[in-house]
Amino acid sequence: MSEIKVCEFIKNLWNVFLEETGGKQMEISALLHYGRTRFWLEDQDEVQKDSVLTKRTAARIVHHFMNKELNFSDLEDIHQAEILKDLYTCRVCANSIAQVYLRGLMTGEEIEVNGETAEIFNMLESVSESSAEEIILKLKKLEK
Amino acid sequence: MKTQYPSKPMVISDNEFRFDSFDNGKSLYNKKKNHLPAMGWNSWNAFGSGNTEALTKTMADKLVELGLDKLGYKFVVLDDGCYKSERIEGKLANDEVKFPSGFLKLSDYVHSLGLKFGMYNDIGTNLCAGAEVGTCGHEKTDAQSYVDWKVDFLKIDNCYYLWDNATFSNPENARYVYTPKIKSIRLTGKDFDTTLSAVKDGKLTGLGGTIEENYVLNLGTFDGTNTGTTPVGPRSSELWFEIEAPENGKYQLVVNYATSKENGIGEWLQVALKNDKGNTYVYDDFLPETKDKNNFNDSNPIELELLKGKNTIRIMNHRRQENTLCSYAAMVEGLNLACPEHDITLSLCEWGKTMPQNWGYKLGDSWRILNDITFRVGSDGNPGFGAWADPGTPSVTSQYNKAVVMDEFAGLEKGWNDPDMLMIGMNGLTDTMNKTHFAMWCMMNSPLMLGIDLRRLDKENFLYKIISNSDLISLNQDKLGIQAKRIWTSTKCNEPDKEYIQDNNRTDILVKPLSDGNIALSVFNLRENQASEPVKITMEMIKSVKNLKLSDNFINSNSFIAKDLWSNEEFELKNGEVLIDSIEACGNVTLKISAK
Repeated sequence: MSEIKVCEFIKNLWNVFLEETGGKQMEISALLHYGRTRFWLEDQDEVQKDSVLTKRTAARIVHHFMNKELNFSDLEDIHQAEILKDLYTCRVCANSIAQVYLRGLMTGEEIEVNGETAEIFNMLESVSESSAEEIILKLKKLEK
Repeated sequence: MKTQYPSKPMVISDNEFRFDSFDNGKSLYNKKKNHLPAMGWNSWNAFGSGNTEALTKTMADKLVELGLDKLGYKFVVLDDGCYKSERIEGKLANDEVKFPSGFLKLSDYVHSLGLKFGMYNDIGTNLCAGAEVGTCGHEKTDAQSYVDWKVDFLKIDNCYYLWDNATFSNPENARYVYTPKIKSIRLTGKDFDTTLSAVKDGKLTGLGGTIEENYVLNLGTFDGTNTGTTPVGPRSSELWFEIEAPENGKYQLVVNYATSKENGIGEWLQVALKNDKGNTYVYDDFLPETKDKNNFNDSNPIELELLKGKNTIRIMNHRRQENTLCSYAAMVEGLNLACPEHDITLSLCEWGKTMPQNWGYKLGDSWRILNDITFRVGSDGNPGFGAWADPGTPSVTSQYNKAVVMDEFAGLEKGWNDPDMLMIGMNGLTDTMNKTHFAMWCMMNSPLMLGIDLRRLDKENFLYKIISNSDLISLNQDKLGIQAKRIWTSTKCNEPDKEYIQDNNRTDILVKPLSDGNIALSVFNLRENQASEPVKITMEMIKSVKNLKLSDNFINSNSFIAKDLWSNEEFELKNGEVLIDSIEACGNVTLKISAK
């Protein structure tokens, strides 16, 4: 399973939505800076652009990209995302995880806990290239 | 330059930092006390990680324009999301896109308006949002930075903490905060050799320790992060062995144990000896790992000096509380070095994980009691979402239900329980819920930190009228500094001020003694439907409540005037009674009652 870097994911995401955003292709450093000024990227995405993309980071970027660039509003009721046992482990990204999970853009994983099956998001797990592509494709098909 | 983190928790050489000193009432490092609950605006609920310099300055301007500063809202606090994600030459730095002018310029701007400036950090290696700029290993440097930036308030979080299984910390960090399973101890000395079973001969004190088969486990401190764990009473256990020593002298203690790295079974052992000399710590470190948690080994001998006669060997692990206290202490020490006369207000934000109500007063001005009140914070143009009720922590009532039984831990000489920042203005809360949310926080002496985009307010706005209610604010800021006590609840219970009730299908009555000798009375309907059963409260009933610290004037009075602090209506109490026919869903009646 080949992993994907943060900057590669961001570039792919941006390029798929040029028509919707009215944007143009950019060199990666310009894109990272642009994303920061538009508040769908954080400083760490630029500073650590070559780090492996984690599910947590992907959820945050996708969620904020949806809000800021594609004008999606947040789903109001996120209770169904509470099936993810680790949803509230990340106070900073809980809402992002809930939003991408409930919209079917990213999925959880099943684990065994004391003989019972539970679902977690597993936010620190790295995202594969194919998974990253799938996330972007699902977003492209998503209706407002 | 990569930070060199310590490889194990700090050695504690001063017992003032230990569990045994938690009840002595002494603060550490000359921490200034007698701060009333902090009031101000914090960026997190309003804008999350999207806060900027421009937004912060606008919020500061609005605090003044709306006269909120005159009502007490003084602190303007930058929460997470303001730093560059890496240190520059080992120091914290501003995110240059969000905060282009830097923190000192922003601090000066805030101060120029007569306000106070606050910032945020974390005792772990990283902030909760992930940036590796936590204070761990950088306490002195960061403290100097905060002093240089003229910071008046610091909120310090607990993510990525090295010495406990905190959020984003290694789950195996449980090894630091629980003893191994204990099966037996063997004590030998001159003509003395005894082996004692943990289960048959040991005595569990406190709460939490458990017995399984022929061993004891769960010797640690309860984790208070989530709902469901009461904050009241003993929050940890010890395993005691009573020894009758034949003579004074050196003895050898060997512990039979098995380790793991999970909740309830760790690798860290504390042993103290209790006798006529007092309490002496004789061991406070890891024990070597065993093959697994079902394979028991003998420890190396631990030397003890017993007195002839009665001695108690205490087997325990209080490191959950002690480690966290020491980490916050490192920051306070750093601040004292940077500026000995500082009076920085310190908000401990470890989410109640380590039962900070027991020790937080030693270093802090307030301590969070639970995980966050919302995980759906706002952004520029989006007010975020707050809930009235939730099985977990993110709701008004989740936080209230725990804070309301914690009045014994609060006070001017201690500090304040912190049920997190206000959600007034968020989607999901009605006007009535917002009013009750505010009344609750005022009565409970909670810090009043606004989390709303203040551009949404003007002086005619209903939300403004709530947060600017000076009568309610004056309860929160009353000089007597007594958190309201729940004196009655419609849920059947023996001790309404101590029982942790999570079922919201109820009405609560709270009373707060005030510095002018009078009281505030609140009746809260937590249900999401109207409470139709009439509520009658008599002054005699209030006077009969134990430990309520009413003034002599109030106790001796037989006639009273009440003022409704929402409607401003004043009326005389007939027969010393308050009669409430019904309370709307999630509503409250809050009165000031004065003796005539």
